[in-house]
Amino acid sequence: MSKSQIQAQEPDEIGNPHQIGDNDVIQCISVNKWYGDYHALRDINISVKEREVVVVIGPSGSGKSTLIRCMNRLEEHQEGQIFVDNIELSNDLKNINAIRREIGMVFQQFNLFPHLTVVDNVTLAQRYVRRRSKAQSEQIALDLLERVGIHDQAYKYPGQLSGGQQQRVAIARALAMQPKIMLFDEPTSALDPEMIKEVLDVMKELARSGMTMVVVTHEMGFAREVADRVIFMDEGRVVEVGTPEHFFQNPQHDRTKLFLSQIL
Amino acid sequence: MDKGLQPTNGDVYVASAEPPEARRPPIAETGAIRWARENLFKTRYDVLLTVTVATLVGLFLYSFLDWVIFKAQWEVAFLNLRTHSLGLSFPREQIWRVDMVVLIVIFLSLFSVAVWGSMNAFLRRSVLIVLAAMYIVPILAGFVPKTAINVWVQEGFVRVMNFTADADQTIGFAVIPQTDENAFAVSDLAAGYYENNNRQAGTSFDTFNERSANVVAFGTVDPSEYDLNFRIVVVGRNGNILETSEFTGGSTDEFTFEWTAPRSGWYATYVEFDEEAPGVGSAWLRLENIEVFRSTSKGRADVAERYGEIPEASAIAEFCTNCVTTTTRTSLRFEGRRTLGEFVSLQMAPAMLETRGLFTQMVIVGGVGYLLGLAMLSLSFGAPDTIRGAERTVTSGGGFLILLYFGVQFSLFFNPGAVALNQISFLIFGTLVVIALSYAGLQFIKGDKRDVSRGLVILWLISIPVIWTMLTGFAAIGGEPNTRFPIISSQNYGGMLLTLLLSAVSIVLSFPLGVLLALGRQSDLPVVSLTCTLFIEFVRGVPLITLLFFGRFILPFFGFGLGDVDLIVRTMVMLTLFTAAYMAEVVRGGLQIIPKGQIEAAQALGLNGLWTTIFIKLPQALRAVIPAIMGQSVSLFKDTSLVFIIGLFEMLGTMNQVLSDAQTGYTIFTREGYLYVGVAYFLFAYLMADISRRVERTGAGSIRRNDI
Repeated sequence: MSKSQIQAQEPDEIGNPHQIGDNDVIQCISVNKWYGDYHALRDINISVKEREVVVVIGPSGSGKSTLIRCMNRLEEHQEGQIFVDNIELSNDLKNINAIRREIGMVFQQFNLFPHLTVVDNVTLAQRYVRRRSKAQSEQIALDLLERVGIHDQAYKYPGQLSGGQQQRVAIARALAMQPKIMLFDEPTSALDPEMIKEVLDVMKELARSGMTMVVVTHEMGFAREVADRVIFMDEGRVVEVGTPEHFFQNPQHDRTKLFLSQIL
Repeated sequence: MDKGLQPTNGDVYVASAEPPEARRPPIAETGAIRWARENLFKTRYDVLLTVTVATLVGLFLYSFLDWVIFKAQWEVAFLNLRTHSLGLSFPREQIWRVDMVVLIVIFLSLFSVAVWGSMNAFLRRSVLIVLAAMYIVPILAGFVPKTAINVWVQEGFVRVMNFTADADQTIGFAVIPQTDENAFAVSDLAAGYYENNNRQAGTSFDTFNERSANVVAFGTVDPSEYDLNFRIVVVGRNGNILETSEFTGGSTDEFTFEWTAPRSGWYATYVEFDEEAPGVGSAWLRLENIEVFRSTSKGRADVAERYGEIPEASAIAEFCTNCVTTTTRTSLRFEGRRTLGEFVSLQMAPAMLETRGLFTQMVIVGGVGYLLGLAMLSLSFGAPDTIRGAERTVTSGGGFLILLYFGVQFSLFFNPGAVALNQISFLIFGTLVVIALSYAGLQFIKGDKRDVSRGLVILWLISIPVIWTMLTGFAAIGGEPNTRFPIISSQNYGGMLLTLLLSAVSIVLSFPLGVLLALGRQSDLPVVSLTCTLFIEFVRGVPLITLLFFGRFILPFFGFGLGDVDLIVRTMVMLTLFTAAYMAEVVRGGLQIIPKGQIEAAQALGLNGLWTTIFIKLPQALRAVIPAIMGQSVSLFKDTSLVFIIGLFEMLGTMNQVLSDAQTGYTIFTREGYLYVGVAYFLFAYLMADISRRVERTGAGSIRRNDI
C-alpha cells in the first residue's frame, strides 16, 4: 500500500478507523533518526497489523527502544513517515495527543507516579484525557487491577509494591485508556527473575485477548510462544523479520545466527 | 515437637519442618541500653567525646538555669506582654479583636491538625502540663511566705508605699541601719521589692505599677557617720494618719514596729524625718507580711475588686508634703540570689496569672476545633469502628472540658476574682461558633475525607478576609461613625502581631508567585523565561534592606498613588517579592530532579503540558523541596526583624523600644528582654519546622520511598 492511498482515506473519527489495506495500524516508511551525528534508525520499513503481536529483539544499542518510542512520538524521527491508526505523526500537537490516546506504553522502569496511589495512577489520565467521571474511572481502574491480579493493593502507593506488581499497575494504567495498540519497552528487564513470570502472564493474557502489541524484549520464550512476527534489529536497521518458527529454527542472516547462538 | 536436628543420613542436613520460634532479643540488645552503647560509648574516643560534651553542656545548662531561676528578673517580659504582642501604641480597648483573631486561627489550625495530620502525644501532654501549671502554680505561690518588701531610706529622699491589708492583718516594720560599708551590696536581701506608683507607662493602654528589685549600694556613705533620725507613718487612703512610730533616734540598732490594720483596704506608709535633725546615712525599711501587689493589668482589676480603687500616686503626694515621689524607676539590678519559693511567687505566678486567661481560651477553642475535626473525619468515613473512635474522642474531650471547668472554679476558690468572667462568656461564644461551623461543615460532607478537606480549605479562605477586617476595622456602618469597630491605623501595629502578619502574608503570597516564576523561568517562550530570570537574578542580587528602602522611599515617586498605599502593605509586597525569588530557585531545583521517565509516562498517557505540570511535575517537585521551602519561610520570618530600619516596630523592634526607654527603667534588663524575644522567635520557627516535617510525612511521604 502506498503513502498516497493512506492519505486519500481520512478516518471518519478516531476510534473507528477505516479498515485499510491489510489492516495495518502502524506503518513506518523509510524512517531515519539521528542523535546528533549518530545514525540511530536507518531506513526502517515495517508495519504492524491489527491484533498482531510483534516482538522486536536485538542487541543493546540496536535501536529497538528508539523505534517504538518513535511510534508514539516520545522521540522524533527526522526522515520518513510513521502512520499510526491512519494518522501521520508530525509536529502537530493535536495529532500527537490523538495518537497517544490510542497507544498505551509500558516502560522498562515502570514510571509509575510515586506521589499517587495505585488507583489514582490508573484513574488520572482517564479523568483528564478521556474525561470520564470519577466513579466510572475508578470502576474501570478497579476492574483492570483485578484483571492484572493486584486489586487488593489499589490504595497503596507504588513505593509499597514489588517490581512485578508495579509493572502490572503500569500495564493497567495503560489499558485504562482503552488503547488500540500497546507498546512494551523491555517490560521485564528491571525485574527480579521471580517476578518476570507474573508480568509475562499478564502480557500473554493480553495478547490472547486480541490486543495489538509491539514488544521490545529479551524474553525469547515469550517471543516464541506469543509473537506473530519477530523483528530482529541491529545497528539501527531491520536485519530479519519472520515468524517465530522461522526465526528461531531457521534464521537466514549471519548476524541473526550469531545473536541467537549467543543468547540461547 | 523436636527442635533439634532431624535424623540425617550421612552429610545431608535438613532443617526441621517447623521453623524455630521467634523470640525477643536480649535486653542488652534493645532499648536505651543498646542505644547508648551504639551511639554514645562505642569506642573509647566516643566515650571521651560523650563525657566531654555532656560535661560542657551540663555546666552551661547549670549556670544558665541558675541565672534564669535565682537571679533573672522577668518583669520586663511578663509585665509587657501586651506591648510585646501588639506594639507600644495599639489601642487598648481594641485588643479583644486581636484575641478573637488568635482564637480563630487556633481553632482552624487545630481543626486542620485533626483532619490533615495528627496530634503528637508529646505536644498534647505539654499543653496539658502547661495548662495545669497555670492554675496550680499561683495556688502554690499562695503558700510561699510573703516576701518582705525592702525600701531604701536615705536622708531627704522618702518614698511612699501604697499597700493593701486585710482586716486584723499585722504588718511588721523593721528599720535596718546601714552601718557596715560592705553591707551596701546587700546580697542577702533576696527580694528587695517596692511599689513605685509613679511610673508613667510608655503605652497608651497600660499604666500599671511596677515593683522592682532594688538592692545595691547607693554610692558610698561613711558608716561611722550614721545618724538617721526618722519615724514611720501609716496613713489611710484619704491621708488621715492612723499610726506613728517613735523616732529611730539615730541609733544604729535595728528598730522594729508593728501595726494591725483595722479593716480591709488600701493604706500607705512613708517615713518622716525629724525636721530639726534629719541626720545622715541610709537604712533599709523592711515591711513584713505585706502582699506584693500584682501590678499587671489583670492583677489591678483583681486588687481593685478586693480592696477598692487603686489610689493615684499624686493623691498621696498631696498629703505627704515631705515625700519625694520618684518619676523614674531606679535602674538597678537585683544582685542577690532568690529562693525557689520566691521565684515561684514573684516571677512565675504573676506571669501565669497574666497569661492564663488567654491561654485557657486558646486551649478550649483549639480543643473544640480538634475534636470537631476528628468527629467530622470519622463521620465522613462512616465505618462503624471510626464512629466508635469518634464517640470515644468526643466523650473524653467533653470530660476534659468539664474537668477544666471545675479546675477553673477550684482555682477561683483560692484566688477570688483572679479569673475574669469573660472566660465563661468566651466559652459560650466559642461553643456557639462551633455549633454554627459544624452545621456549615456538615453540609459539605457527602461521605468522603476529601469533602471535609475541601470544606476546611474554604473555611481558611473565608477566614482571611474576616481576619483582615477584624484587624483593620472599618470607618462607618450604615453612615454612622463606627465606634465599636474603628479603623486601627497601621502605625499602631507592632510587636509579635506585626511580625506574624508580615511573615504570614509574605509566605502565603510568595509561594504561588515563586512557583509561577520557577515555571516561567523554564518556559519555552524566551520572553517569559528571560523576564522571570531577570527578576529572580535581580532580586537575589540585592540585599533585603535595599528592597525595604525601595518600598519605603522610592516606590512613592513612581506615582499611580503608590505613596498612598499603606507602608505595611508596601513592606509586605517587598518581602513577598524577595522571598518569591528565592522560592522560585528552590522550586526550580525540585523541578529539575523529576526523572524524565515521569514526563514521558504522562505524555504517553496523552496528558498535555499543563496537566503534566499540575498533576505530575509540581506535586513531586514541591514534595521534594518541602524542607527548603520551609527553610526559606523560617528565614523570612526571622528577616522581618529588619523592618525596624524603615520605621516599623515588630517583635524585636518593640523590645528594643521597651528596653531603650529610660522612662520605664528597663534599660538594664536587656539580657532578660532579648532572651524572651529569642525564645519567642525559636518557638515560632520550631513550630514551622515541625509543620514542614508533618507535611513531608503525608501522602506518599508516609512510606519509605523506593527508587521508582
